[in-house]
Amino acid sequence: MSLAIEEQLDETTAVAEPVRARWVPQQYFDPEFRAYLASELDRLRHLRAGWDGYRAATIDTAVLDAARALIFRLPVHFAPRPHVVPLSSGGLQLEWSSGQVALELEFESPAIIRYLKWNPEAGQPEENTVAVTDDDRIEDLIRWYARQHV
Amino acid sequence: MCRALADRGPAILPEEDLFRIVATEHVKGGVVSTGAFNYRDCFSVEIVSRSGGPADSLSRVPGACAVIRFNCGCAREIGELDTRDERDDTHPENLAHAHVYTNGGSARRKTLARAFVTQCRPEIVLNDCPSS
Repeated sequence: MSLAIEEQLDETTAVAEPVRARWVPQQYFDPEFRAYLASELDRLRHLRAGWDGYRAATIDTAVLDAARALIFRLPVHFAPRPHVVPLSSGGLQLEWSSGQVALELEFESPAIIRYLKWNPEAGQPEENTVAVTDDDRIEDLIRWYARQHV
Repeated sequence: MCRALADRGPAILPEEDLFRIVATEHVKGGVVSTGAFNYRDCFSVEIVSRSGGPADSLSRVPGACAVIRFNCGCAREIGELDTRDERDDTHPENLAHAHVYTNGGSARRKTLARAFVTQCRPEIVLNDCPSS
């Protein structure tokens, strides 16, 4: 290598922006994902009427069964764990939130999920319903959150 | 008990703050869940300026363990959560009690609840919940 080239390289090195490394998770490794959610659902099964201190209903066992079945149909290692939140109506909600980004999957019944995709920086929120058996759509929703969460 | 539209009490002024008493399920990890406000008709609160403080309010709700504070006007404006001056049938002597009426039938109810939590920033002011 000639001296001229070495000088050029030195100049280039001197003015270049420092490289900023950033981990970009491609997959979540969570062998306990299903077991955790199943145990959370089992916990809700034992809530008594008025569990919120007011007039909340017990959580509908058919909803709990539908949520459990869905969890075991979904892939593993693809998303962080959600909060499993009981609702006063007797339904339940899987809730992911981080900063300004959130995803809520609310079991309105054993057959219907009302969902909310929330990311104000990326446009309007999306609220709609999806069949509990529409595994592809539900997986898409959760993958959307996992991508936003990165 | 929630009332029909025509029978509701007067609106609480927007500058008032409110206490919502919640169970551990709705403040897990120190995060306020929208589930705490997910009611189809109405839920109970206490008006902070008339209350004896968060511990006093909490003492009236057996089984609950945390107190969330938020602004009445913000909730009405952002979340369509309308607070009315109404007594609790089980504690009629409690003049701090009010009902917050939700728009539970709305096709945007989850959007409104999330907007409320995001923009009105309900704050946990007392938390005696186990491992939350």
